[in-house]
Amino acid sequence: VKVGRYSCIIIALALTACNIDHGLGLLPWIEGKVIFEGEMPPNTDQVIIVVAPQFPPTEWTDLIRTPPLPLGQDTVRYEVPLPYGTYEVIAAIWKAKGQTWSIQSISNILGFYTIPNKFEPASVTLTEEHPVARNIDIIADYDLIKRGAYISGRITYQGDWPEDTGMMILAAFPKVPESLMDYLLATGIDLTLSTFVPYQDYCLAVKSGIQKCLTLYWQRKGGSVSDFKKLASYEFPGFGKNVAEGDTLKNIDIVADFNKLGL
Amino acid sequence: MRALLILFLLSGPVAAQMRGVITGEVTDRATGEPLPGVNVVLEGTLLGASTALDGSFLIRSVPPGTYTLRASMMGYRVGYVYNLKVAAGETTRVSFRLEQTVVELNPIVVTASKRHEELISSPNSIAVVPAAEVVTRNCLRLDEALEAVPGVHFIENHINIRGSSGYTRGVGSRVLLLVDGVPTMISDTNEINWNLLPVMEVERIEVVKGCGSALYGSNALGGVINLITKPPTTRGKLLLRIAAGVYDKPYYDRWRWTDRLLHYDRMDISYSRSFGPLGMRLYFGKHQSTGYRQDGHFQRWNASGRFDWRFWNGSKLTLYSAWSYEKRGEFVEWENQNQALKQSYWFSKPPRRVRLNIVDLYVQYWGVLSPKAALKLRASSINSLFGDQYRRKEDYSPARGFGAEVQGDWIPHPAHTITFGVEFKLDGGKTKHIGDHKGYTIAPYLQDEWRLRRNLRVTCGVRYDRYKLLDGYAESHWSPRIGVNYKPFEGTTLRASGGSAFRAASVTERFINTHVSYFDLVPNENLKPEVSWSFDLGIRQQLTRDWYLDVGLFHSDFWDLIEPYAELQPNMRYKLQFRNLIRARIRGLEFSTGGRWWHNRLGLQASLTWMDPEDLNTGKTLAYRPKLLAWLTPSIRLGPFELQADYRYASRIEEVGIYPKDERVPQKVLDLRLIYRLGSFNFIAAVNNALQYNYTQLERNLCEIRNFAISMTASL
Repeated sequence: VKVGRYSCIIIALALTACNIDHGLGLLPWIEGKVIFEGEMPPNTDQVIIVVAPQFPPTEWTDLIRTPPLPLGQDTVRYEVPLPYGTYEVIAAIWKAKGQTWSIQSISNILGFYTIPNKFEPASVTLTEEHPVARNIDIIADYDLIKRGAYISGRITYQGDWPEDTGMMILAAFPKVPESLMDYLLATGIDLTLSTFVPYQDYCLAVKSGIQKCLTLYWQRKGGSVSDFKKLASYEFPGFGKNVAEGDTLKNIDIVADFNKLGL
Repeated sequence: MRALLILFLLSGPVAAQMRGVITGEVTDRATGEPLPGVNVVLEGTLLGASTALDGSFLIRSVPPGTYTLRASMMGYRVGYVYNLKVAAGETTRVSFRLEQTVVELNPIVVTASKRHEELISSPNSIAVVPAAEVVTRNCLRLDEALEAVPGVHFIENHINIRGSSGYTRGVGSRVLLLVDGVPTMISDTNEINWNLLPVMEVERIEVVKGCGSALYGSNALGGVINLITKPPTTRGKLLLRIAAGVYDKPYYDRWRWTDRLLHYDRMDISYSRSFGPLGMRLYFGKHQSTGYRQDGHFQRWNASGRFDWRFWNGSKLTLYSAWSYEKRGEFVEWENQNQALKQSYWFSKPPRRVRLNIVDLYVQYWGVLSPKAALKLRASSINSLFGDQYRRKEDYSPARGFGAEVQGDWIPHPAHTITFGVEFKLDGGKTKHIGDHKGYTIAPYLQDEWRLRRNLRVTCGVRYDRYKLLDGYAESHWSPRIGVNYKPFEGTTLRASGGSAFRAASVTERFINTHVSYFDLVPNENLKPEVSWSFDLGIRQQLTRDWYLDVGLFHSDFWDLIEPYAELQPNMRYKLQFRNLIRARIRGLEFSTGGRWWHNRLGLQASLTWMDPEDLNTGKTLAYRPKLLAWLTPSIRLGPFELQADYRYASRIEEVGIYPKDERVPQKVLDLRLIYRLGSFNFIAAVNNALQYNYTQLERNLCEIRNFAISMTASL
């Protein structure tokens, strides 16, 4: 009987010593609403919310994603559980029918959580004191992804192509990008340029309106999406050049010199 | 060579002169009842017999001499009769009175050397899970039965012995699974399916840790698991088990994904008996569950049959077949941590459904050619058909494997036992994802166990594997091994072993060519084999009659470990390819003990494994490997009742493959069981994950939540 009693005591002590906890718990979260504006393109497949701890994200898996939002409603509520920390970008992104979600999808931003009265991304911080961030509202404007204007020209490459070239990225901006966040403002992005060619002709679809600069980026083979270098740029004079829906800005030629890449 | 062969074949019958006979009976020491099915072996020879219904046995054609006779059966201490004199033309009578035991301190094992030997005589680190433990731990699946083995860890259904494996969604296991010594891996993916064999039909599970390629070839990089199926019984025996359980509500209300009661049940029934020299065993079972998470449901059916024909001279012919069929959902990852039991939207449209059919078959003949020579012939096949929910013909993946082996055992000299043979294997699969590819292996092997002294054995062996794809690629590998077993004192065993092992890439790893989500999986036909060199040093000390202590040190170096490699392409999709990437080193220390005290009322099994699994390319810990594993099973038995607790701990996994930023915690799980024994019946009430501890091993996959189970096992 004594041994049995001692055993019970030992088991009870062992259980206590195990520092009983329940392991994984619930995460803090952000919540808000998405307010849709503009006319939804007929080829719309899905719209989701993505949250990026940093921008640009390194990998697609760095993004925290929601399931697709219901379409055809003016306002939709959403909630995203997130670990404690700061999140630089909370955005609504769009995908056309027949496309798959990938890191390229972040070029189809309908809108993001902004600093009040400014078109700049606002960050959100979740702490133990403030585990829930409410009213993280996003205005999702379908007009932002309408790219019915075009810029065309020729890219001429000088110097030797680096052997570890992965891809070239061409992007147009309404202002000269000064911070990484400014990449969110791109009016058009082309990730399908040829590599290891002496020159190539391009035609970039952009959102109609002011175009201030056109920039060509080089990315290392196997590098992450954030691992790119500016290779060449074309700046429109003054405040930029306005391009209307259906119009094309022609003969915007760029010379890209790999000797200036600084690898 | 020809002379050796003639000597091997003729070392018995032709050279035979007048011989003797050993006969006798084996009884239970406590009850005096005869024990049928006991293996009686004449040490130093290949002669033996199995006891009949009345416990009697007969060994013929014994050359005159002095021998040691050994009688063994699971659940009983091994019995010996030393200095047994056999004279020409005479019959020697022997009686064994075997003592029942709860703790199997020195069972007979067969995996490490491809022949019967005592566990403490092997140079390898071996663990044995007996059938009785499977019953009392209320294991419903084979992988549950292995969770308590020191150094073994599971991520989902992926087994990891001493850190050798990570997680690759089932492809390319670094642990080889055998059923009665016959390789039983799914032939296109080289993965293990734990549901193929019903756990109740397993007599014991032997786990040999460390490299095993010197006898078994590819896949035996981290270890070998041998499921020894129950042999047919002499008298008619019905085995029945009914088990059922319900899942508790999840710890957080937000995790509830359904209002239904989530539950599971399992039914197993088998019948076994012998008709003269023919023994048979038939089994049928069903296991089903709603799952505790969305799309975690399954229904499984199992059937198996085993037929043994025993010849008068101890030779045996065995035909065994197992079939399993399952329909299940497939949980890929959670929606988010606040909806941890709900399938992610991205993997739920359409709902994921899987069907899997597997048939495993082998025929094996073990023939005694003479007291000093025996021959084993084996042919086997494993066929699987994996299909997805669409039921379209092209979405089914048939995989077919065929194997054959000839093995000889020869004792040319009392100090030497030579095991040699050649194994042939043909593996392949045919799907739209990998095409139609087959590869074959032909592998001769040779091993010599040399007893230098009464208490010192040296084992050395080598195997040569030639693997060739019918498409053209070919590779070869030599796997040498050496081991030493030394017993300096009574109850003390020192062991040391070292050797090389390898794993050839599976057909799936080489040829997969498909698109999943934003990944393009591309083939890599020239994958080299993974190679390792492993060393193991250990001591096993019997502290009392029912208490042992085992300490082991291990060190493994790996080259060219195959891992998936992702590369971003210009189309912004990821190119995913299996490549020879990792150079790794795993070092560790393992401690285990087990015993019973106070007239078997108190029991304890405990183990602790510390590992340092390092990726030498990056300096980081290898992915999906915990550094510390601990297991504690105290038990107390009072009359017909026994209360058991299992506490298992695995340290936080430091590196993972897909979502490294997700929160991860250590594994701390407590299971409690109350067992009531009434004659031939066992009743068990259990609470699994009693403390409702929530953790993941694989990212975004919450492990089993608290559940309550009852079961009844009858052996009639």
